[in-house]
Amino acid sequence: MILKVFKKADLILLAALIVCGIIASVAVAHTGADGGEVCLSKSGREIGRYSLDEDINILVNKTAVEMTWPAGQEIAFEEAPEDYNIVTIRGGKVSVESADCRSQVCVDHRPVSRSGESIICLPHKLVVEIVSPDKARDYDTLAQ
Amino acid sequence: MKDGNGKTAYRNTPARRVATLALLAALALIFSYVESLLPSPGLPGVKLGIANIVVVIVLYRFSAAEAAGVNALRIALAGFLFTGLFGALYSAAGAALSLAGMVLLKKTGHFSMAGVSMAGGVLHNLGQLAVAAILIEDLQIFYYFPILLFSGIACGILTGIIATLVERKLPKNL
Repeated sequence: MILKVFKKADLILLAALIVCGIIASVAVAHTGADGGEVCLSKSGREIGRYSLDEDINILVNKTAVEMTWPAGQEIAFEEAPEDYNIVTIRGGKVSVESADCRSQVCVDHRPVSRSGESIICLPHKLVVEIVSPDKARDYDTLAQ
Repeated sequence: MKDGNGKTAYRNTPARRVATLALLAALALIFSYVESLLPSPGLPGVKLGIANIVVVIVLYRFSAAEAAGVNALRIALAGFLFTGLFGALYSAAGAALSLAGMVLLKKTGHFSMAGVSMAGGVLHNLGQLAVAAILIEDLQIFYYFPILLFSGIACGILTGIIATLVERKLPKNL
C-alpha cells in the first residue's frame, strides 16, 4: 500500500532530507563541549554574561538583568516585574526557573550545560545561550 | 436537473466552487482548532499540521491559487480566534514557503501527493524557524533545525498519506 502512495522521486527526496537532517544534527551536537559562559540576550542585545560554575539566580525583567542572588536561596519579591524570567545556574547547568510568559516553553525546557546549547523564550525575546569563553576568538580566526 | 443515471447532476458553476472552497476552509480551520487542543509534545514548533491535509487536497483538486486562498483564510481566522498575532505570523511564513515548495514539486510531476506533502511539512517548519530567527534577532535558534526537519518529514508524510487516501475516496465532481 505504501508503494502505491509513494513514487521514486519521493524516496530520493526523503533520503536527501534525512541526510541533511543527520548532517545538521551532527553539526549541532559538535558545537561544543561542557563548560563555558552563560550569555543572556534580549532582542538580540547582550544583557549579561555569567560563569557556568557559579550557582546563581538571575532575574531578567522586560529589558535587562534586574537582580541576581545565590541559587537555592528563597527571595521574596515585593512585586514581580512584568515580562520576567528567572534564570538559574546551578551545578554547571542552566535552566529557566520561572517566567510569566504565555507559552512556558522556556520553563519546561530541560537544563542545558554544553556550549552551543540554548534556551529561548520567544514571547520575551530572551535567549539564554552557553558560549565557550574563546568563542569570540574563534570567530576572529574565521574572519581572517 | 437529472443526468442519464437519474442522479442529480451538479453544474460546475463558480458559485458551487466558492461554496465548496468555503466548506474546505472551514474544515481546515476546525483542524487547526483541534490541533491547538492537543497537548504540545514539549518541543516548540513541533506539530502534526493536520490542516495541511485540506490544503494538499485543494492544491490537487482545485488550483495553487485556491489552495493559497483557503490557507490564508484559515490562518487569518485561526489568528483572530485562538493562535494570536504572532501565531498567525509564524503560520503565514511557514504556509507561504510550504505552499510555494509544494506547487513547484507538484509541477515537476515526479512526486506523489505524499512526497509533496512531506516537502511542505519540512518547508513549513523552515519558514517558521526563519521568522523566529528574525523576530528574536538571533541565529542561535537554528539549533532547533534538525528536530524541526525530522518532525516536518514525519508529519508531512503522515498528513500526505491521509490526504492521498481521502482524495481517492472523494467524489470526482467535488
